[in-house]
Amino acid sequence: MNEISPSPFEAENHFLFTDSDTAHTSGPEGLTPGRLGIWILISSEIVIFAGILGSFILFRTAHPEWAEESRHLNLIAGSLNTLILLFSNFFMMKAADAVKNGENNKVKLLLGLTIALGTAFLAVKGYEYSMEFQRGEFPSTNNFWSFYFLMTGIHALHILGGLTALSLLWNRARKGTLGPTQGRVALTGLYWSFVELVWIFLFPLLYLMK
Amino acid sequence: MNTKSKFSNHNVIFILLAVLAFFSVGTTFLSLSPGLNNWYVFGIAAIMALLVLIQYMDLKSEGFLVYVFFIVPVVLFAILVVLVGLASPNGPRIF
Repeated sequence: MNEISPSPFEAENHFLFTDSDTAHTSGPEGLTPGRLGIWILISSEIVIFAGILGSFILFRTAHPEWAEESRHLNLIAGSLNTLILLFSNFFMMKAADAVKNGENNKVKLLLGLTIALGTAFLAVKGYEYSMEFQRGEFPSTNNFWSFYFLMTGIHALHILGGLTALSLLWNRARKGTLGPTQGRVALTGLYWSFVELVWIFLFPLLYLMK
Repeated sequence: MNTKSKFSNHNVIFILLAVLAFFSVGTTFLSLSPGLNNWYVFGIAAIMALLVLIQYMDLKSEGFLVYVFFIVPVVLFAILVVLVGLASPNGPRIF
């Protein structure tokens, strides 16, 4: 097991980074500042996605002919991406557990797998986009495709944001300097689960709704 | 906290999610009416979302404040859909 050591700044300001049991009781409702911050972020994200998804549902019900447009989507790619995100989040949860047990090598491996699968998700989505562009389906084609590219594009940006955070954590785990910032693995896991949660609704809305 | 049981919890939840996703995709091979199909796939999505929320996001062990953070936007979303649905020419027909 690698030795985990904090930087001097982190050691002095451990209350900003730690997610230990003592810090867990320091905030309102027993929340650490980090966990509270992530929940506030998720709350604002729900507003964004709920607005877009709600608008899509209403337009979709007013336009039954959009079912024909959705048949042009690549169901295999969509299903594969669902499976990829399920595996990715599973490894993320395992990484958060490994952090609690101080298994740094395992954390490194699991974060690496999470990143690889997140990247695979983006690659599959990129392949789908390229196929759609080749068929002449662009955001300007009609409202269905506008919604499709908007919803999947924003979701992909969230994946990209998550991958950036995960890469920073993986780099720390690789160097063995996760230290008191290890609580961030669980916080990133919370965000990553939210990204999966959004896809759980996007997938049937776009690919399976008749 | 019992980490071993958490490990097995994650495994069980992952298998459940994968099975539910499989059933969800399976609807494309059934000749269900659009209404039934949509209730079916969104029913499965709701169960999957609950599993992720309760187990992965650990909502079950969060305090009242987090529930407020989570529930307020969801309620706003429901109000948006219902009110705009009622105002639309097609009426409140969601599915």
